[in-house]
Amino acid sequence: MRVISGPSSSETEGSDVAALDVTALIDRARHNDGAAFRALFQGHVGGVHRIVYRMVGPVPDLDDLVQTVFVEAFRSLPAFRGEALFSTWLARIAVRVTMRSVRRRQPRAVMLDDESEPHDHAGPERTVAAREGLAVLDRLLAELRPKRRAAFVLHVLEGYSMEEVGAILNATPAAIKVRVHDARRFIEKRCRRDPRLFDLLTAGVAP
Amino acid sequence: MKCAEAEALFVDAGDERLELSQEVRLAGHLDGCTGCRERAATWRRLVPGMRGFAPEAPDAMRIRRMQIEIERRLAPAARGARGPREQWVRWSAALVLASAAALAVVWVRRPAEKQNSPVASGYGVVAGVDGELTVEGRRIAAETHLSADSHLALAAGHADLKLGRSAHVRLSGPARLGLEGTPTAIAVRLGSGQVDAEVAHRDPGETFAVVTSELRVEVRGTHFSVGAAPGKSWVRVDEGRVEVTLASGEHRFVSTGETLASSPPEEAPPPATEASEAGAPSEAPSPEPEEAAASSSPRCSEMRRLCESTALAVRESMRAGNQARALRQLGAVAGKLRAAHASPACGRVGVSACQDELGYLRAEALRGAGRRDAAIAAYRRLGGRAQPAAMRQNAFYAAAELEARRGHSARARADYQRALAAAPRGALAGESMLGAMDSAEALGDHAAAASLARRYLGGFPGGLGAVRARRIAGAEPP
Repeated sequence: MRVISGPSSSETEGSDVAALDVTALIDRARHNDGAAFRALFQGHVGGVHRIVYRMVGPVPDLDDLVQTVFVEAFRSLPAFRGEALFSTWLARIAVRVTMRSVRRRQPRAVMLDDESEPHDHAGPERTVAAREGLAVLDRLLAELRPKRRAAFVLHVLEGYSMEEVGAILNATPAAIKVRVHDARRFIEKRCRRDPRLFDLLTAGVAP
Repeated sequence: MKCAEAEALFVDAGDERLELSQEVRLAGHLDGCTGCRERAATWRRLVPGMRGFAPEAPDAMRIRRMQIEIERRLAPAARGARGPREQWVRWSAALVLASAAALAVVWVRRPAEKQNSPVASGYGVVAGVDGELTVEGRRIAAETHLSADSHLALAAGHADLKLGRSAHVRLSGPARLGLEGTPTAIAVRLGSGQVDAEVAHRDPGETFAVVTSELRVEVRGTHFSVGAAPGKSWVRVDEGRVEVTLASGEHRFVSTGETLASSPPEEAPPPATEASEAGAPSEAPSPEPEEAAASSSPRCSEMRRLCESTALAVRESMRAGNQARALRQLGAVAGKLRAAHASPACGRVGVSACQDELGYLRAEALRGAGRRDAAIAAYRRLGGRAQPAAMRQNAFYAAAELEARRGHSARARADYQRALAAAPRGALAGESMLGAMDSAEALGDHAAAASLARRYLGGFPGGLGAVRARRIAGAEPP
């Protein structure tokens, strides 16, 4: 069973999603049980936040988007039939909310060697290497077209299968394969052009 | 197998999700295809490398703020889900409202009768005044309506203003303030003095900004203060995050516990004090000269760096689940930082936000290590009078949650009430009220529980705790 990881340690006490009966929580939430809403939110906010971040990068309204995902999800709970995992269903909503937001945004030219300070959603506690790596990855993903980015993020970074990504993005697995392939080619080209990029992205991974 | 097919399996192979037949076919292809073999090796390193660069999960305060906001946005939907009896009550209420509206029309059409409701002007209203507040030189009192393009002057004391839909501004004198924009695009121009603003989350298209001659502070929903004096301005964020545009056009983001000054760092104001939060007249926006000089001393900078690097290391340990190491790291610098804190060479300015962060990390690490008594004590220490209101509320709330989980209802109730008192309009106010209500109910104090329930319903009529509150208030059968 695939479960999106929960929020930071400070929030997970007593709310480990894997240990919770998500189905029972959903039933309770459908009856406007506030505690069930809260448990579902706290159990999934970390995973949703990560997907949204990887889809749009460190934008100032990141938290607003995460909130919108949960608002839409909770409003649509009656339509959740349990055919997919709740986490996959949430991922689908997260992608839709972020894609809609991406379409509304002004396009922004992003350069890989852009040294400007990114919006700091990473928090001051991260190590310099982690911040640098995350910033490089953000800029790289920002250069992908939204649909390619979504497919790449979900399959390569989030680890969903091609079929699951197809279900989330409402596309055939063949279309997803093409999008992931194109995104991969683009990143390979970038890495060939700038070997520092490959070193930065693989820092800490054994050769 | 073609190259494209092989490539499509790289991630699944790394995640060990391939069926045996697929594994065999992929291995066979890679044996005979140098290009795919090299590409597979590249992605075997890239995938874990990229996955490792995940964004930091939102911290506890951000999560709680999001939760509150979601509940606020869901509230109308929750109100919509009602039973037949309530539907009937609602229709009755609608009839009463319709009658009232008809009466109102008659009332409005009465000749020479000027309406004076808060909605009339739309822009804002003076909620309270403790001092001499004037508009264009004319003295005004509470309940006076404010329109855009008004210029306010406060000689001393403070004035509370409600602007637009839900922005509360406290002006601390002596101060000068200009009101600009529209009810949905409010711009407050601070000539001098200090404003403390609490701004509910803006709907799309709504903006709220405080502007001084040096900076423009724009928010979506937060609690912050701005000070202005000739040639310098500052902003301090108690809760949330604001976007600041400096006179140079440079954009900066300022988050909870941080201060940004238009002049050099030593001009930054001291952290919020109990007096200023409790409504007593605030101190002047700029700090005492010796305090400012101290904050820029090398020792102070050194301590700040030590504090920040410790916070980094502690976060790493906690992420790795090693609470014991986190606590050792905190213990190793505690003495030094305490000495720096007490030393006149450094003072509190500059390192305070970081020290607060360490205090919070310590409490969280203790909780993670299962040392609940110590964690509760650490949270309560964070509730000290010198901390920002949002942090005090968060700390007391966390302590209350732990006490409630242990079944210590009396202690939980006291901590929930402290959390509520720390920031009555803070992000956790509703939650704290519910917690206090539940604790009172558990203690058999039904009168207090009902009173809290009514208070909750007054402030959060559509909140997700409303059903429970209505039951406890006696408005709904159990």
